[in-house]
Amino acid sequence: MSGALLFVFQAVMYTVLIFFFLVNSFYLLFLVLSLAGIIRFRRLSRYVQLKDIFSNPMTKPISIIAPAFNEEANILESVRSLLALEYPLFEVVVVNDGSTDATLETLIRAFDLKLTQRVFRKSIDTAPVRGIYASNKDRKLVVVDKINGKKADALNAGLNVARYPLFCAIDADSLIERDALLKVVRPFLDDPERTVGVGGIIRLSNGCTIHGGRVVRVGLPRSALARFQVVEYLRAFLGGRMGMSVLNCLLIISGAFGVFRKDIALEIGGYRRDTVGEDMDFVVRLRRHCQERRRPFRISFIPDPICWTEAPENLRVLARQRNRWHRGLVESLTFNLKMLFNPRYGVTGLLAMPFYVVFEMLGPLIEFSGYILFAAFLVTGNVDHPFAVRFFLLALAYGTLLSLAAVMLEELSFRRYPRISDILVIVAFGILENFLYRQFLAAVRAKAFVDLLRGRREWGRMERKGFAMKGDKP
Amino acid sequence: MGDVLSVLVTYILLFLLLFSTALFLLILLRRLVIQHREAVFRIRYLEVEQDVLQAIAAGDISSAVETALKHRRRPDVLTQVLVNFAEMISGRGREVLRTIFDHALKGRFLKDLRSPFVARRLRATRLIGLFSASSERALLVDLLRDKPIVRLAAAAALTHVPDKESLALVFEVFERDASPDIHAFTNIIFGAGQRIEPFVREALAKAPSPEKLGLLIDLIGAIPLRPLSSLLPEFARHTEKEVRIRSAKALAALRSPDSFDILIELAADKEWEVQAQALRGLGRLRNPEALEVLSKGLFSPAWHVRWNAREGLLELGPEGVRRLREVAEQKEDRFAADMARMALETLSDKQVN
Repeated sequence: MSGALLFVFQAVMYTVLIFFFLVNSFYLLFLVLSLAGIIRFRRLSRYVQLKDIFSNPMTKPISIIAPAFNEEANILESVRSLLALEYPLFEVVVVNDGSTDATLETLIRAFDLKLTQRVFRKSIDTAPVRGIYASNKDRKLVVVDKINGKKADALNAGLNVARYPLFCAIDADSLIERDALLKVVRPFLDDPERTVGVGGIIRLSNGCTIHGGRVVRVGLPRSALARFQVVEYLRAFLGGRMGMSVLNCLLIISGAFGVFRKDIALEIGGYRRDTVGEDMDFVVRLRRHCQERRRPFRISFIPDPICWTEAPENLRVLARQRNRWHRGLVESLTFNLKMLFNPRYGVTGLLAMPFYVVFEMLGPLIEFSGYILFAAFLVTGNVDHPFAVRFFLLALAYGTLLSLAAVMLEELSFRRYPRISDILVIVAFGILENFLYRQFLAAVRAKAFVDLLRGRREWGRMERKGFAMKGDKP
Repeated sequence: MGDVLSVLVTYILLFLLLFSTALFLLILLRRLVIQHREAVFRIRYLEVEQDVLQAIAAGDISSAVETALKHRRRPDVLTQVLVNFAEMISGRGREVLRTIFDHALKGRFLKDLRSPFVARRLRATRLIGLFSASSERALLVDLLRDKPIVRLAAAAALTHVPDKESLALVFEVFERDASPDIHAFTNIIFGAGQRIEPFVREALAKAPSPEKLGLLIDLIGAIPLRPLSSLLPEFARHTEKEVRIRSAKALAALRSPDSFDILIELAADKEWEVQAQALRGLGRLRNPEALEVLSKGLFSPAWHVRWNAREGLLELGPEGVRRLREVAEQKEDRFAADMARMALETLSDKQVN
């Protein structure tokens, strides 16, 4: 091996090693913090009566904003589930964002919608609204029909029309548990001045039995791809987000389910339209806004209120989704790069931003470069085989440990998967994901950089089966 | 260096493998144990539930005591049964639950009130607040100096005590707290209902901070405390905008015809938030003399003022609707016309439905 090549090999090896240890150690740290957070949350929530929240005069009304683009497969099930939520006062604002399928017609037929003259304050600029519909069947339902402007624009249109001081941003293809709003609103009751946003856990509905807009039996999906995602979601929500919430440096509340104060959302101009990661960008800008104004605030994650969403079950759609998520992440972080290592932004600037920039944003690039170089060295015969095998096993063991820790958190918290066989399957997929699935995701996320440089801005189509088709009918 | 790294990697690998295996086994074992415990819990729950139901049906103290003594060695199950019943039962049945709690569980939770762990103190406070706050007043008062989350639970428990001294203590804490959690105190004090009237009157007389004053005024409107409505006009002229807003809101909630003049005055306030609340109140009074003021509100640059003016006009009945039609047809102010049209549409919806 030539000296230069050896030097490159060693440099790459050490970089990857250091990166590997740091990233996994951070994940482990967040898992430990999550453990403390979940135990504390469970203990402090004992004997809290949801009916007290329901009858509390200070429980603020909520506008649920559900942007919908070509959601005809799921829209009825989702809207029915939203209208059946348990909460003293709320409205459901479905924003039909220029769907080209029969989303609007389906809603009009099912809920007996009629065009109204409703006026609203256009606090945020959006693509033109074609009409606002009210339902003759359920007064809580409002449907905004507008020209397509992407999800952020639809959310902004919903914000303009929303009447209540809190709003809940959700995906129209998600199902929220009946009492989820009562649970998610608790931080707003406990600490109304400081709490500006609260996120709930997202779980995958694939494999679950859904009836009447509710998940009636929790099960694991049959598709291997969806099972990998079950492990990922557990790790991300119960591990990562809970841990970051404990440190009060949460940068993401999933667009599928989050509740925010409307006044502050309007102060920051709503969702940014020129990004595909509007949910993360929104939370980062909320933090930035509050910290720049030295306003005490808190953005929390609660592991209990549950939102169910459908995961992609084919590689093409999964690749599109993850590519978009990563482009969104890069856009949000680069837009707010000023916060990086900036003590003015406290723990957000000194911990959360560096973590996201180094490990979440650049991580896939480093990981993917490692695979490419490793393959190159393998071809040229420059690999220290025993070391490579040990390192691979180490990566496998670390990854498995993190997955197991996430399963442990799930067991300590809510045990949604009822059978022991479910746990065995999740653990097995936590091990199997290290073979090809992980590499596939690294490649997809690394490609996001290329797409960004090429100026790709579109969302990519998400194909859905529709909730009613999944699982066995009860 | 390479050798050291290889050895290090090997040891870390071994450690991780052992740790992962142990964790995996722990998860499985824990799940098995929990499933077994849950099955036992379910069986015991049904037994206890049956006995508690019988005690409630019998309605006498001796049955309650008997049930308590029978199940005192199953505190977790009994607590859960009592909490679940407490959500549904009031009156005589609640007394039975209280007796069972007192004889089977209270001693345990009284100890927990002094626990060094916040979660235990909080749990005990909630349960004592739910079942038997009266006799534990002194202990609950001690907890008013605890951490905020326990303090609020203790204050909430005290509001369940039907004597004046307990409420006086809650108000004392409220007045003493330099920066109270206003929303939490609102929840707590609101729960006490009409009983708080003398305390609110007394607190108002002490010229509290605008923040506390706002809460007290809110309570007058929300509960409502009608005997205190005569104090509101004075606060409606307060220099603080927030106090004027709360006063207008309380006046609107009380719907007292005597408040007409002060609401007219507030409808001309320099702040749009005060105007909006005053217009809402004027509408609720259904006094035709408010027609012009409400109509003027439809032309306000503030959306909320226009909205409340429209609501007020709708409340006025045929006169208001006639005025809404006129505004809907005028061309000078498109925003006022839009709001009026929307109001008329709501009206036709109501007629259809």
